[in-house]
Amino acid sequence: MKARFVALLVPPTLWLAIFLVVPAAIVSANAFTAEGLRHLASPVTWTLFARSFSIALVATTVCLAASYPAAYFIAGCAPRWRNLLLFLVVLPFWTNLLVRVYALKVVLPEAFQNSTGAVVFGLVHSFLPFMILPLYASIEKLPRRLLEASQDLGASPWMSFWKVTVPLTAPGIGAGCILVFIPAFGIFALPEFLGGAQAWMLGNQIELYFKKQQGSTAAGSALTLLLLGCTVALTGVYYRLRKTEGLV
Amino acid sequence: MKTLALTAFVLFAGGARPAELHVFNWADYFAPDTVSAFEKEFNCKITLDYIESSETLRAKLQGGRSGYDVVFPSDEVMPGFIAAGLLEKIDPAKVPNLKNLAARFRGLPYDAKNEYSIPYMWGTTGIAYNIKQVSPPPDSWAALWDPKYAGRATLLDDALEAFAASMWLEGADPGRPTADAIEKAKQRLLKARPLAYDSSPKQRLIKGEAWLSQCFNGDALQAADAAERSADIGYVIPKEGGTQWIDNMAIAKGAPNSDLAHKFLDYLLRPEVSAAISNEVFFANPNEAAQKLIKKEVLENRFANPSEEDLKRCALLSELPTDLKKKLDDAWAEVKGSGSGGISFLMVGAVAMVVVLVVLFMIVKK
Amino acid sequence: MRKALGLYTAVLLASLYVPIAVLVAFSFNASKHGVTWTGFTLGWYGELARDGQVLNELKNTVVIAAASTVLATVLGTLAALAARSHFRGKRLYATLVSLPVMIPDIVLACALYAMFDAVRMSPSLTNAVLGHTTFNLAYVAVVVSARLQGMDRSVELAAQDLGASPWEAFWKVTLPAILPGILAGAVLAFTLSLDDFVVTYFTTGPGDATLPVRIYSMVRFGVTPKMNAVSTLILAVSLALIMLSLRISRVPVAGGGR
Repeated sequence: MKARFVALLVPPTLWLAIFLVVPAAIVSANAFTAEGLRHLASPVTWTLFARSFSIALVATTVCLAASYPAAYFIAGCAPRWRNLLLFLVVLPFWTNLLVRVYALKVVLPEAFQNSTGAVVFGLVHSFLPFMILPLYASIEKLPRRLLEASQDLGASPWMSFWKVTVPLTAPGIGAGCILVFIPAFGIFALPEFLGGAQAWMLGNQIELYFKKQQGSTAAGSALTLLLLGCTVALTGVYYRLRKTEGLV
Repeated sequence: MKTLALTAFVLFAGGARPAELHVFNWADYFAPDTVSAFEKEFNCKITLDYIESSETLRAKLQGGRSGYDVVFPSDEVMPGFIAAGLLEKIDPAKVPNLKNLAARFRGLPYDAKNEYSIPYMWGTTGIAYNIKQVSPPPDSWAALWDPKYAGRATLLDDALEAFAASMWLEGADPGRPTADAIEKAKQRLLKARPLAYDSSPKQRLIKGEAWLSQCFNGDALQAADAAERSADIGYVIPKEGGTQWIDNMAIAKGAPNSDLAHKFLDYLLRPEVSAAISNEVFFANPNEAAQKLIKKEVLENRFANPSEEDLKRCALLSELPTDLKKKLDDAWAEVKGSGSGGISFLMVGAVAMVVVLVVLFMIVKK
Repeated sequence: MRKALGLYTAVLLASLYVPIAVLVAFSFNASKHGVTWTGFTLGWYGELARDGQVLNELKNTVVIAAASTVLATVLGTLAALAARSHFRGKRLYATLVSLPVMIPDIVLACALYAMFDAVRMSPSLTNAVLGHTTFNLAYVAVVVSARLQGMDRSVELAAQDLGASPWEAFWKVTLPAILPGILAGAVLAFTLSLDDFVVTYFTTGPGDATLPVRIYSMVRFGVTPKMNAVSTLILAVSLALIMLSLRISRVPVAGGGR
């Protein structure tokens, strides 16, 4: 029995140790060198960090605002429609992100392109499915009677929404925000296509260091570590605020 | 069993299997029949791969077993390639057509004895501009910084070239940069407000997205051609100076078929072959003997063939020594990272942060 | 109110598909610059078929996806099965397995790059397969884990009560029950691999490029309408896979599960 369990546990753990933990350790080792630390402390890095954080935050907020009404509507539909609508929402997620971003580039008016606004728009557009699904899952579980009770007690629909619906769907909101913010924070191909010279983000700089400049591995590792650290911190906070079973 | 093996061996080795030549060149750099004519004449098969960037080429050549025979490095990477032993020496005895090279393309600074490279095509880097929108026509790199054209200019996405533009304006020679020149050039670049850093601004010029682009002359020419109103895109080498670049043919270290590679180099130096390529790609040609076979429209094309005074203002860029390279890399990263979308977005970001905190507060307070 | 919400949702969904539709339409556009429609043509697809480099990239894409899917499905299933038990450090284990999903892909890609560089493994298809397996493993584990949670364990225990050995119980009861989950996970992994850009970009070198990497360099170095054709093809393949995945998850399973 024990042997069987070990047989199950060891292979994936070993794999992840070699291809996740060791690389992370090497990145840390590269980052904590003189060169790496110099880059970590440099104002260029922090400007990039602030810009990437802001862009990801704005994109997440807009995505949330744009997704909530749609998720709410879908949750209120008959099951047959629900499944169809969800399918339509998820379908783009299964397609290539680069293709979708390129399609945006083709369609967006020229005046809007090569700007930070275009990048935010692109992010919102690309990550809508990531936000709609968790929101939907949360809203769908809401007991309708609570809303009725709230209105019976004299609250306006608007107040019921803010005081009952939103707090109760907080898990969905949280999940959606994390699912959008983290990839948005580290993205690089999208800002390169849509942002021109304006929206240069952490991911772009990391790519520059690793792929375009020889001998900048320490710099690239430093920024990667920064990104990783931030992500882990945010995820940690998120998990603190909710409970999980199994691996889901 | 032995006879079987022997027969197989004879069939295999002695059979008419054509020799293979592996060529790694930039895209659209041959005439339509250049490769096939060689294959026919020398009874061989050429596999052609496309170089995307000098970095790609370097990465492929490292290790000495790239599998390529003939490669096409540009002038600024040559010293580095030679020093790193990525190329094989060319045996001049096997390339008699070397005599066709114009005198001024022999013994260039990056390969003083032409031991490793033979110039293939050359060109310049200047400013391509939209004739309708940019009036009067630009004559200085300063046009890329002109507030009148803010958000309509692009610079090349290449540290050396972008810094060269800035250095010309500082009165420094980009062919021989100093740490001080790099610093001053960086400060100037930080003030630039380009639309994008784009090494292939053709599309942007054609669509009218960009009005001024730091651009290779070949790209400018293709843009002018494609715009279908070819008078609309002009090209100029600014008064402060421009870059001259030279693409070379060379033999990769560990080339599987060095003999055939030499024959290919010799073939490419034939006047008719060289001229055909120039006629197709519209690039200027270092082959003296080929000049009389090149179409008049190519020779007189101001994009492809700059005038003598224009050429005098051009410098050859080369890769920097390690310490200066570090300085340039850092400066380039800083320029790229500065962007202009920072400030307003920090403010919007701050607002968003406040909104998020308020919502969270409301939720928690219930 | 609902009408307004419904209209809004419809517009939102449409906005998700309009760019893609335009892209697909332009892949049949005869014009070289894709701004105006000049006529219907299959020419770009013809060019694609003759482009040796693209075919090579297609091969690379499929090879990486197939190899990493096989590895990831096995490892991911093992991981999910192991997570059923309670053991010390399970929290840490769960975090470790879901980590590749939670971090931005550039972090995983660059960390792998740094490691391969440190052990002198130059960029290659192998590196890409190793990288893809790592994140696919996590996705398969999540999918199979979800399926396991919905499974009634008592059937497995009943089988053991009736004299089956733990192995037999596993093979004859558990595995068939979670098979749809495993297959769904495999299809998910394959699709993600096909579409992956960032990890592939950092682990492969020139000549090992995949289609998404090709799209990236095409957009950077000048767009040709051929790109629209490539993109449409990639979309078509992804769609086909999604349909396949849906079919699989509807397969009825004998014994156990639902």
